Formats: sequence, C-alpha cells, structure tokens
Amino acid sequence: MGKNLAETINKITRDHIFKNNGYVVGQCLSAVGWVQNTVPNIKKNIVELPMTETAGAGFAVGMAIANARPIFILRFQSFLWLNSSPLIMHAAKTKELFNYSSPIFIRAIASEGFGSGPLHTNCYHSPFAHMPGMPICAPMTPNEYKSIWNNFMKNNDPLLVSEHRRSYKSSIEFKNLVHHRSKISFFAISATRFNIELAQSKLKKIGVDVDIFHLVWLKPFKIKKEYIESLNKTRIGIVLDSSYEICSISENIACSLMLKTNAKVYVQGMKDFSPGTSQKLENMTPTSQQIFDFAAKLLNKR
Amino acid sequence: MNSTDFKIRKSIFDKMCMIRFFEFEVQKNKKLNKIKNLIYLSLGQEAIYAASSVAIKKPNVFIQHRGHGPYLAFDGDPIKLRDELLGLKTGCNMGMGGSPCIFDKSKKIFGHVGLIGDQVPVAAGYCFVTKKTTICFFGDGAAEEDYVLATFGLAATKKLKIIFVCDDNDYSVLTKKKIRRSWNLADVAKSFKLNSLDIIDDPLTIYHSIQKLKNRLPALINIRTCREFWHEGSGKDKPNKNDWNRFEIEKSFFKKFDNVFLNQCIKKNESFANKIWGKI
Repeated sequence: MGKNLAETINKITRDHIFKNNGYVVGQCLSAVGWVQNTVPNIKKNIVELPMTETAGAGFAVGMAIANARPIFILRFQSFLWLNSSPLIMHAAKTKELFNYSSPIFIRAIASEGFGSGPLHTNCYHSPFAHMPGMPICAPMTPNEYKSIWNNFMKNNDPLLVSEHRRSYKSSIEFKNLVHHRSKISFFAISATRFNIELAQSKLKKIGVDVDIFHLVWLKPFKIKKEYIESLNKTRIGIVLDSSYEICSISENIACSLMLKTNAKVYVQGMKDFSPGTSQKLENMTPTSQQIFDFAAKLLNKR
Repeated sequence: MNSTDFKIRKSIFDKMCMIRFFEFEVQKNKKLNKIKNLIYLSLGQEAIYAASSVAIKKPNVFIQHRGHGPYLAFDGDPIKLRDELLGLKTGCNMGMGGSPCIFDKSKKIFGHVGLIGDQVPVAAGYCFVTKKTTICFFGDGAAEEDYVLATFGLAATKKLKIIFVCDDNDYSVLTKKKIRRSWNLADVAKSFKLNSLDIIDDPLTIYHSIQKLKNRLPALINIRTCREFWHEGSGKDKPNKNDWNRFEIEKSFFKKFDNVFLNQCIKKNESFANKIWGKI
C-alpha cells in the first residue's frame, strides 16, 4: 500500500525544505501532531509565527516575494478570514499589478463535526474564488497532491490549497466513472468525493447508474468534453461541495455547465446557516445518504 | 557643525530638492489634467526620505502612499515614475499602480497595495528571507493598524535587520492623531523590544538617528513632520501654529552658509524636473 495523503504531504514538505531550502510558515506547527503529521518533525526552516493572523500572513507573503516559496499553513480553514487580506490584496495581485510574483503555497485545512460548532470548522474556498489572481484547488489524494505541488513549483502564482482533514489518512486514488446508461452526473469537490462513492453504491442498488467526475482544480475551472457529453446524456447534474452552497464555487460551476449544455445542474453543499455545537445544529459536507436522497428526489421529479 | 556634517547636510538637501521639484511638476500636471489619477504628494516630508537614503545605502525599501519621495531618494528612475503617474506602460508598474502604489522590484523598492500599512508585515517577511537591511516607511495612521503593531513584535522575536520609519504628519486623512489615539508609537515599539526614537524631521537628526540605530536593529524611528498637502491631491491643511516648513528651514540655512551651493542645487534640480516633465 502506498503512502497516505498526510505522509505524502510530509514527504513533499521535507523535500522542499532540504532540496529547495524552502520554508514552512504558520502558527503552532510544532504542536502535538505536527499538523496531522503533514509537517516533518524537524527544526530547519520551520517558521513559527506568533498568533497574529494578518501580520503573519503578510510576513509569509513577504517571504514569497523574496522567492522562498513558503508553504503557509492554516491549521483550520476558518482562519482564512483573518489571514485573507495579505493573501488576496497582496499575493494575488502582485503579478498583474506590479510585475512580480508571490508564489505562496497556502494550505488551508477544512474540518467539521465533533461538536466543534462555529469553532475552527468548515470549508471556505468559495469567497476566495471571487478575487482575481488566486488559483484554487482541492486535492484529496496523494497523486493529486503531488500533481498540484509540481504545478505550484513550475509556476509563479500563489495557490490556495483547500485541504480536508478527512482525506489525510486515505491513500485512495479516485477515478471518474462514466456509464452509457447513467441518469445523473455528479461533479464532486473536497470531502464530498468520499461520500459520493458510497452514494453511488446505494444508487446502483436501486438500478440507477451515475457518472462521477472528481474535481481538483476549482479555479481556473476547465469544462472538459466528457462533462458536456455526460450532461447532454443525463440532463441532470449535481455539483457537490463541502463548502456553503450559496454564492459559491459549486454554484458557479453549475452555472457554467448549464450554459454549455441542455442539462439542469444543481448544487449540494453546506446549507445557509451557521453551525452550532449541538449535533442537530451541525452543518457539514453532504453525507452519502443526503446525496442519495437528493438524487432520488430529482430523478422522481423527472 | 563639523565639515562632515555640513557635507552630509548638503547631500540630503540635494535629494530634497530633487524630490521637491519633481513633486511641483506632478502637482502642476495634475492641475493641467495631464495626470488623471489620484496623486499623493511627498511635499513637506522630503527630508525623511532624503536623509534616510543618505544614511542607508541600497537597502530593501518598503513604502506606502506618498511614495514618490522615497522612490526617488532610493534611486528609483524618475522617468519611470513620471510614466507611472501618467498611466503609461513604461511606468515602474506598467501604469497599473499609479501614485499610491509605487513598486520597482529591480531596485528592491516595494509599495503597498491599497490597504494602509499592508507593506509592513510583508517587509518583515522579505527581510527575514533576504537577511538584508530593510527600511520600511509608513504613516502615523498606518501605525494604528493591528497588523503593523503585531509586526513590531514579529521583527523583535525574529531579530530582523529592519528599521521602521513612521512619517508622523499627525493626520490620518484629515483626522488628527490626538483624536485617534492616546499612546506614543516610540513607546509602544520600545515595549516590543525595538530600539526606538521619537524625533523631528531635521535632516541631520534623522541621519544620525539612523546611523545610531542601524547596527542595533530591529528599530523604529517616529519622525514628526508636516505634510504640505492633503492626504490626496493638492488641498491644504488648515495652517497650524506648530507647523513648520522643513524645506524653507534648510533653504535659509544654506542661504546663510553656502548661497552658491543653494542656488546651484535648486537650479540643477529644477531644470532636471522640468526636463523630465517637459517631454510629456
């Protein structure tokens, strides 16, 4: 069995430090667990920041301008809110406005559940897609992660990497699934990619074949020929995401796909409310059952 | 004043003149509507940039709006700056940044990107990697931003070779400092374990303060100065009885002690600015 995702990230990070003299920057990196074992337990070029979010992010951007290609770690994706201004206002703009690059690799880690409620939870990549100059991806497998890392090292752009804790222990590599009899097309993002595999089995049991496309690059999002063919066949699509549905990347992708096809493309993600700590107030990645139910409802309507 | 100081004062005044006459041309061309964008003039604050650039050679430079002065003082290309203000592709940021955002990476000069003081933490990160002396300018308004204050702590913890220079003209847009805060920046910097000084914009005082601090970095100098024009454009603040015009003070000094130098210096820089701007 190959390395799981956490081990893969750890190896990439270690190589970056020792081979490229790269840096890892963030808060509490050397705390228990070394960020879910994704950061090597070493001292070299690990920069511990004080608990000053905006200044810390600005510091990391300054390192990027000096071409240190820092890996900037936000242990919880909700920290993006406080860290966003140097990332969006500076790193994302510099190439276009000021003719130099700020290649910073931003690891923003989504997590959810465990009664954490509003604290350190959920996935927020969508607002960042609104601003120019910041590519966004959501790798969930070791090979995807290697691929996006190589892409980062070949380019001079900053990169927002929307990670999900749920993926770290996994060593699965997902494959797109296409059947000629499929009745629905799924476009899955982030942790929904684990759930769609289960939902697909459930749908299969009731005689419904589905097409599944695993999306890694959210911005820029390229519409592939196979997406069009699938939607023109099924006429129903669902974009699944671990982030909020409203005004989101998933809505944008759904809209783009609808404009290119004759299909109706829906979105399924977090609902429009803030999660609380009690279980009934949780707001999470759609479960396989929720995906199954939503798909079944759409198929019944038809 | 010894002869060395006199020589230094002359070098500083020469740069003050270069900035000042360039800025007069900017102001004139703004009035003529040849410059159509927002402008942030360095007039009144020239001594800070001129003296700093004489005191520290070829540092990394981070600047805020009112960046024409530091850009010119630290060997920025005046023609590229002119073109930037005119929105031309030949400008130092291809005409994209305009007056408030002056960048020139080839000269290691970096501006801010529209959020006040946002260059301060970026300067610290840049300094951390390059390990080169870095000078970071910002205003007294920016000094109140939480991320600017937090950067002082970061600089002290990481023992960065950075000098923070606050152009303290007492105004944030049109709001005076005493309305905005009850603390003194140099005191706050001290509490973060930065070596700090609070001085006025006398050129030799600035020069010697930087000389004193540049081997004891990180450090901060708060320099009290008087801007001649508003936050943006060429409107005037209501005259304050405590205001002074540093350029006129320096001019009077040289009129008394070296009138030949004064006339030559003014003539040279005035004609240099005319030559640059006369071509548009």
